[in-house]
Amino acid sequence: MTKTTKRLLASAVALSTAFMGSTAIADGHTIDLEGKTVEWIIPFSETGGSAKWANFYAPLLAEELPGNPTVVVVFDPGAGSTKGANNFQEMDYEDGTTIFGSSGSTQFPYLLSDPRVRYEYGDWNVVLASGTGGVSYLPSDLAGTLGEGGDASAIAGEDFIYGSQGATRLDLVPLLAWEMLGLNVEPVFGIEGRGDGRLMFERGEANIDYQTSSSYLSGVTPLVEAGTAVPWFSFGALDADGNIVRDPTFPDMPTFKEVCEATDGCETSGEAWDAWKAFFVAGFPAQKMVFLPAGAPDNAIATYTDAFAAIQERADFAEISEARLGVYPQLTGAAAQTALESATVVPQEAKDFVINWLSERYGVVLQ
Amino acid sequence: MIEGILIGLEAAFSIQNLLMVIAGCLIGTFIGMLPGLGPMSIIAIMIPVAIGIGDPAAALILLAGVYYGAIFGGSTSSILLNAPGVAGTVATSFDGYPMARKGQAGKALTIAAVSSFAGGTIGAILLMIFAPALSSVALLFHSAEYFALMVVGLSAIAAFAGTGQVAKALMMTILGLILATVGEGALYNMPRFTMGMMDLQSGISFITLAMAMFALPEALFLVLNPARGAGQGESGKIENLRFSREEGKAMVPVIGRQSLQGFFIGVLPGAGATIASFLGYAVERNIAKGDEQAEFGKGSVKGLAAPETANNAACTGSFVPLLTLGIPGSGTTAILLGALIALNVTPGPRLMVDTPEIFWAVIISMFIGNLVLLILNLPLIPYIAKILAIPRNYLIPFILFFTLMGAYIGQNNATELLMLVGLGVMATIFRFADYPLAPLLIGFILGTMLEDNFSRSMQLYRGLGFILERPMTLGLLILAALLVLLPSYRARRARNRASGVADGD
Repeated sequence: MTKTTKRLLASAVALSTAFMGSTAIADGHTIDLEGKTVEWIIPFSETGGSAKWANFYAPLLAEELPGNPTVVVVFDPGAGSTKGANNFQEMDYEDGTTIFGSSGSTQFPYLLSDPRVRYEYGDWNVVLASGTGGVSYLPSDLAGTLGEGGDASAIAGEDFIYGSQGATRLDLVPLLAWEMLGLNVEPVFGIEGRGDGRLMFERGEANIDYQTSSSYLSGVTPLVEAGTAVPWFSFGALDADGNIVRDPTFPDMPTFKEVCEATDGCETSGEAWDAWKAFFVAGFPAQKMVFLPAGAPDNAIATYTDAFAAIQERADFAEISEARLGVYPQLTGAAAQTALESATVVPQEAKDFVINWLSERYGVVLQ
Repeated sequence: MIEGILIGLEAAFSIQNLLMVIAGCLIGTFIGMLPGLGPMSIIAIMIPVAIGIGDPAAALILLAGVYYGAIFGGSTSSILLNAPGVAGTVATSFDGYPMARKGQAGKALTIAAVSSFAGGTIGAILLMIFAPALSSVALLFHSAEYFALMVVGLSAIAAFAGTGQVAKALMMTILGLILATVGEGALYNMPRFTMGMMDLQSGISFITLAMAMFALPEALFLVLNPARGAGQGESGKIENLRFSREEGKAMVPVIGRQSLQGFFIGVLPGAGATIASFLGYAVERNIAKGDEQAEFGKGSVKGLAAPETANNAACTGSFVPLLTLGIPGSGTTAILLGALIALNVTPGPRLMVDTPEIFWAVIISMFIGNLVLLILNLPLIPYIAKILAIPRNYLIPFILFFTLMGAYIGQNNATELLMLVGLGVMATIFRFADYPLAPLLIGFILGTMLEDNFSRSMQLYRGLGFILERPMTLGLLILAALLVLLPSYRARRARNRASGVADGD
């Protein structure tokens, strides 16, 4: 390729990028990453869900960023992702070639004031928020006794057993939800993955469970068809204003909010609700986020925001993303900022509520 | 099942997976041939590559190909040099090497290849029949039974350890269990035994441990003992590859018997290709008559076909407990299990239901693999055998390079290199002291599952009550106790007998 065509191509790319996302550009220009290598730091090992998510986005991001840099995914695993996040906190913005992918496992310790956390979400600059959803389900005999709108009053006296990965993990969200509904759920700990939990449900060792959307679709739908499991509620999804609405993947299922409203004694306001919502948002609708380090200028943020927005405007995005990400909003710009705030800017009372609840109910003290 | 086979066919015949089978078989054959490098070492070295592929089906197909390719290839050096590349082909040299010395090296290689092919293929058919049957009762296995099953898996190591090795094997198993407790436990999500080191928080990496146990010591041994693995002599040129019709007829019943026997020995936890090949050889020698029996050890066709059929069938059989129950029957399948877990696939009863494409693609790929190996071994063997001339000093840096690179790439972390070297030195000392290393790795891999299922059962039954309340758990635990106690009882009886009257033979 000659120099001229290369330059022409580069300017064509820059031009098209400028057209696609001109609204978000604050000071009228973008940063050029031509010939550079963008390192996308993932604080997990190369086999987890975050790796799959980053590997899906990396080549698309390279196509959309001005100058078409090489985008490589770098793994910095350890200490449940807090190690990689601490390392990222130490980095200063240089030339926009370092980005960080956080996950629910990075956000929960932050919210729970885990002593390992030396990072501050408020310092970072969000450019993408990717979400998922969750569904709680029951054995068919118990589901049959549920009242109008999923009213849980009738099953409040039952003894529930739930295979859990740990009360400080994503499981915190369903555990707190069931408790708010007045259920007596005894978690059995020592589960390595949610698949194990479903297996316990199938064998009859557990009689309540939840799965994230993609696992629900692949693993629980067959049980629902066979009549052994019945979906109860989805956790819901977040609209652009930060309200909980029905999950687009499960539009016919009531959300936890609706079920809570239908059940006596469950409040959709107050500190328990605020705490649940904060942890739900951190664990599901804003589960995975992409950040630029502290001190990134507006044009760098705009460049990445535009690139991620442009990826979603691709004609084939729905098709290529459905299998790998599910049908969930991939938020950029102001919507991503809203999601980040509802996931990380949580009233101290709500945090204290969960920290107290964990120590009183499960004897878990983070120190 | 038909649906599953169709899914498997579709997956196995994808370009990527076909390449995986061929690559796996090629690598396996080459490495299996090289005396001194067993399938465990090469699979350990291959793990970072397999995990890097990202697709669990492709990774398992590749590693399985390496495994049976190595068993296939190991026979070549057994026959030509009387220097078995892998333990599973030691029995092959009993009759294969004498046959080669008689100038019939080509014929011996052909018999070995045909028997291996038959054993592997019949084994794969049996796997197709038995694995789904075992899977269908899998929902009966609750956490308590899984705990008991893990105990059986661990005690079987002792049962099949060599004479005088039972105590050593048990000690190594327990050391493996201890190593498995490092890092965050699933019960409390709190770091244990990390000595405050961040890098130990997620536990000792399986890849690092596997390579430290099976790749580094091999390389060090080759350095320390250059004569190791060198053959006992050349056996002449490979010329005529054909065997006669009569010899073919003699092989058929041997292949029939040994593929069945070998397969079922492979299914047993703790027993694998090595035991199957020795047992196959012994059984065939015992039931052979007169002249034929006298021929054993001097280049008998049956004596060559028996271990070759049995070891390949056993190799396939060892996939039954791996794929259906998630417990490894041998050190090699333990490494495969670890690789699958690293790829977020939990082998076990649900594998066939949740990810039929992995389950069936692996089985179908075994048929393809055996065909590839037959083609590779029959016409090409005279050329491939030239690899036996590669000097060891080229091999050692190759192993070291891949081991260190693999450990580093897996975690992007220099601490892994320190751990690798530390654990590798430990493993080498153990090998000098003649302590078996496979039990350590099996203990390490089963340790987490053992602990998780035990703690779950304890919570569900509020104590140890599950042992008495669940008959199957009790039965399995009794079986485990017998597996540990019987060998020592037999050993004592044998000692008593030896001090009295000898039995002969």
